[in-house]
Amino acid sequence: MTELQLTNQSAFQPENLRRSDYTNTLAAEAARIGLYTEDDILAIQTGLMNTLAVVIGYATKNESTSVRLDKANEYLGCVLYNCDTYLLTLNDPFAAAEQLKSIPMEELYNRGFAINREHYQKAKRLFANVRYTRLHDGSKTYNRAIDILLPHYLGSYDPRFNAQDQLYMSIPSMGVKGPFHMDETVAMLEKLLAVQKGRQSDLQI
Amino acid sequence: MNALITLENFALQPVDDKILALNEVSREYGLVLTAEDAKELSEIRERSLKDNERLEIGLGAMDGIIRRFSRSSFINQENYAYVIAEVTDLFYYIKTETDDKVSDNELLDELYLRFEQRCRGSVDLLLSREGEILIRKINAGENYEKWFGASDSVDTSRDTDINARRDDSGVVMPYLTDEDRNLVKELEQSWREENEGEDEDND
Repeated sequence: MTELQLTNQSAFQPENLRRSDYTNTLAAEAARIGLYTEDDILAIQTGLMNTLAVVIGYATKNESTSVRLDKANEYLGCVLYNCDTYLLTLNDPFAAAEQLKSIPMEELYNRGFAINREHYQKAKRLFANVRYTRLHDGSKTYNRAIDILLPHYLGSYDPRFNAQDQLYMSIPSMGVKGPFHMDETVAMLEKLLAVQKGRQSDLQI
Repeated sequence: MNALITLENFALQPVDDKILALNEVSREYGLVLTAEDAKELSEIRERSLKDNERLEIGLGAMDGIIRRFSRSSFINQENYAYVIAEVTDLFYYIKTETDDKVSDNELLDELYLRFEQRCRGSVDLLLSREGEILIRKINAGENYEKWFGASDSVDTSRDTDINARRDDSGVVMPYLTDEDRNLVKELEQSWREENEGEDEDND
């Protein structure tokens, strides 16, 4: 790492970077320390706008060029969440800021989307296992999670349009407490499977 | 910390240039928008999107509106910008009221058809009557005929000259003769004279 990178990295104030809003706070922090110019910020905003237009096109099957504001906010949240997902994997705000500046926004969105899609597919496989090895003497909250909350969440989730959606559930008896993003849902399902381990089922997954 | 990236950054992107570029299409029908018209249409579009709580990136619907309505036989250079503005506002209103159940192209085709055939170029009729019929039709779906069929029917029985002169018994009345016209003039004159006399008394 060069001296400039060390200097710049230490200039990033960790308390100003929020994991839940990483792209936004990273860009703001990079602007604050002089890593980004106004043109860089404008390019990021333009890239996001174009990516949002692409997502709107997917969502409306290109049948509509406009959407309601609440839907637009949801799609923008999804675009940012997918970008956040990818940039957080770099584990380095300086590298993340460099990539945010140099890589097209749509590419960042696609990379994050690929990661979240993988989490989603894994969550579905894990949930199938959880259902088939479920406890027969589970608590009310446990049964509600298995029968209603998890199916609804996994059924309505789409990493293209609502990757940022969270699962709101808790099973106090098992120390499970939400809300969970999709990657956290995977971890939670693995924990449930570990608790249910040893239960016999005649169905093979 | 203020967010750098919000919908507000995207919301108000002027589209004057894109509107003016469509003069290449409308010029064929003798219709051209000036730079001032384009600026005003861009502002009207922004206001309409805001009023109807919508977001649109790029020119979007107005492109389709200009391409269709510039072909209309009821539009001339005087009312061109006005019609485009009103139809744009109506378009976004219907999209929101119907929760985006209908695609842009379907709605634009329907609006154009109704403007030409049912409204005969009347923007007022399009906005008031046809707009509401469309919203009910789209929202009711297959139940439309059952719920609204009778009340939304438009009496087109008098839309030809002969039908307009047909009385209740079915007899086609002649046009006004010269004698009739003279009688009408005399009646109007006497009414005016009576009312002038009353006005003087009131003064």
